Amino acid sequence: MKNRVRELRTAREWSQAKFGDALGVSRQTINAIEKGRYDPSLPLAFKLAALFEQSIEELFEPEVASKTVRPAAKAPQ
Amino acid sequence: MVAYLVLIFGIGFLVDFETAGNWKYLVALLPLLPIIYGARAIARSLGRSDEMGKQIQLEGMSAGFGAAMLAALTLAFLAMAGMNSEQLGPWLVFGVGMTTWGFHTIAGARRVA
Repeated sequence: MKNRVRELRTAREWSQAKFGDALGVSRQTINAIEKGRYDPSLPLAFKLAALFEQSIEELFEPEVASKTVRPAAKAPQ
Repeated sequence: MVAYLVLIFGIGFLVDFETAGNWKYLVALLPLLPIIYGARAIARSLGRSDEMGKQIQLEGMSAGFGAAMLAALTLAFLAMAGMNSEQLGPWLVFGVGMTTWGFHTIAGARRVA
């Protein structure tokens, strides 16, 4: 999943290790999240959002699904 | 590690399992003690890992479990057909399970690196 974690982390001049310590995860996990190779769990995503003072939706960009989800048809009245 | 391997393979030379009494079963199980210690260490390491580390390890373990079960079933069906795998069977199951666990864990770690 694309995200702005690296952009926001480097803007604050935090190292991956320091950032990981603040979140209680390893540097490797931070690196994997920034590269989009690992999607964090919901609690971790909330911690990230709180640390950057942003919403989860502002941090993470979900991948577009191949099939469009159509809203359920309304019953005739 | 070398001492452990010597113990595993040397026990057959130290003890005559053909003629020894029932204590031979206790001697045969001695190599399990360090393995139990190793299993505790793996469980502690898993507990200390973060969420991504746990996911990689658990995916590797589940792949190893699945491979071991498949190997065991394969040997069971072959035994039904008359194939004798009494000596090789347990070691084959262990080897397939451990190898799959190892390779799957390494692949998982490289995927996120």
